[in-house]
Amino acid sequence: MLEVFDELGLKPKVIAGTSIGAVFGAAYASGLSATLIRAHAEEALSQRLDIARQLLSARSEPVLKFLNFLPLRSALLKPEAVLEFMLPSAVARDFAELKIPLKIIATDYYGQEQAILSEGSLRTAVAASMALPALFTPVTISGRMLMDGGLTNPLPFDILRGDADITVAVDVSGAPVMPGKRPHPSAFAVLMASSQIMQRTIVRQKLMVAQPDIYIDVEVDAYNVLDFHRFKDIMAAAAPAKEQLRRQLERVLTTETLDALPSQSVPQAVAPPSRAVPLLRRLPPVNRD
Amino acid sequence: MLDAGAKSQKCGQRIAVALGGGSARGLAHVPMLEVFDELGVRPSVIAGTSMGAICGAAYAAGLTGAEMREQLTALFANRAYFFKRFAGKLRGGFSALWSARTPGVVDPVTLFEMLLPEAMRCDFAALKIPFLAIAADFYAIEQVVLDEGPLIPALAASSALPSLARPVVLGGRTLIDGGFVNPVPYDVVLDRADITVAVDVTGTPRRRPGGRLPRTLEAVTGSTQILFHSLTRAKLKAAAPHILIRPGVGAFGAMDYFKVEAILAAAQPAKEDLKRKLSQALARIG
Repeated sequence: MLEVFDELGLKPKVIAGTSIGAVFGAAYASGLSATLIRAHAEEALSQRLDIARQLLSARSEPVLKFLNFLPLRSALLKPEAVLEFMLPSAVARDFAELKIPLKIIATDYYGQEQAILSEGSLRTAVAASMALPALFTPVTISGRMLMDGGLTNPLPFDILRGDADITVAVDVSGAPVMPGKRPHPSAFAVLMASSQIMQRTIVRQKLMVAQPDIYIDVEVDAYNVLDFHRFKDIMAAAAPAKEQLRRQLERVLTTETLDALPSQSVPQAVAPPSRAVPLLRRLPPVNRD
Repeated sequence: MLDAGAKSQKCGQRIAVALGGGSARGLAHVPMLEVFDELGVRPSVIAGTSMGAICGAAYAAGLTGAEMREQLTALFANRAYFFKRFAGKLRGGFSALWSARTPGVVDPVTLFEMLLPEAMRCDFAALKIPFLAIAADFYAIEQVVLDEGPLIPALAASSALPSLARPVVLGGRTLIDGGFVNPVPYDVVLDRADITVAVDVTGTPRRRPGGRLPRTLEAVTGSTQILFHSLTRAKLKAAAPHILIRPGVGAFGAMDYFKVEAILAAAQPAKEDLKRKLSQALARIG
């Protein structure tokens, strides 16, 4: 989706990101091109096994030990450590160094509300935003224990209200997929999918109250939360949505204007969508005064 | 109760009640239902999610709040009595609750058929007050409002908490706990009454002493509770019930059924609160 902005020569005025959205948002707001981010993600994830090995050894604890004592431990991994592997080194260290203003959504665990992070250490903020419970340890920032922003705001278009003329929201929450003909999903699958269902429901509720100008539901239902190793498949599945976003943005821009980037970002050839799927709905524009 | 019902119907006031999910915390619904008995007001419709569906259905089946309090207190007063009674009802042995395909996960239909009172083994149509149970369609990711057919499978579907209870297949849909789509289902009855009362028993994460990080399981439960709160908050922005009650039972755990007396005691101030607010609302509209 970010590639569309590069290809159209557009520079977003402000970016808001939750969880994986915060990771990519941080990289893009640091000034990296979407193509570079894609290449880095592809390279980093192709070494997934190496990464896993490094992370485990970084804990300097035998693997068996933390598998056995899983319920006793606070959580498995420090999100900051994972981020160091995921983010290109060119990503800013502090919000102040960013080229595009960025708002990162995390969840205040005890306050049970969203926390909007927009200053201080960027990596700590991204780590907090992606701290999925049970998988990552929570991140403490100025006395607040923070976790995955998806718990309170899975699609943070609403916090950008009034910041821009056109708001684009990219929803990658997906839906559980029927596993063959089995009516009963496994207990584990239900547990994983249930938070997905709630996030999806929260987004639906939010859309009833206010809508972004462009809403894109990327069809990645067949992929699970932790399917990072299926990166190429996911990229291919998102291609039609990308094409839709481009068309949608171009249409909206004929009536409204945005800051255009200088010609440094050269439009690139993109494979046409393999099939025409109605992935994108044009929602009525948000009422503005 | 019949006289009271006639009285409230004569005034033309319709009161809808929505009881939320919260497992053991949902025991706090019982004192709230007592308010209706004590004020002599009969709800015109009840909607429930999960534990709220069980309590709401019991009330809709004709049990009074006081009767529910008495039975639940007796059932959970001590563990020994509960397990004796529970084991006594297991005709096919404990294995009836589990299946080989999903071991470790209880079949909620079997469980409820054993635990729920005789009066609730009926169809929706036989209930004395119209009642709706909320479940979530797992694959369609949408809310399903159950209001016909046998009551117990619907209650089981509404309460099928993932990882504890097996999903329930009804009419070709795979259903799980309604809390995932509608933790406090006041919105489904909002247009069916003059006054809508919603009871929210969602829990809140508990702080560990010394500022230590929560344990893994605690973090999963806590984050699910945050999702419930986020969902309710998003719903309240769209439309709010006339009376929203949050009994102070957030600190109790989902499985604290044996703390029934403590939960009922903790809900007492909320009961007084509801009684006052409902009387005021009735005076205003009536």
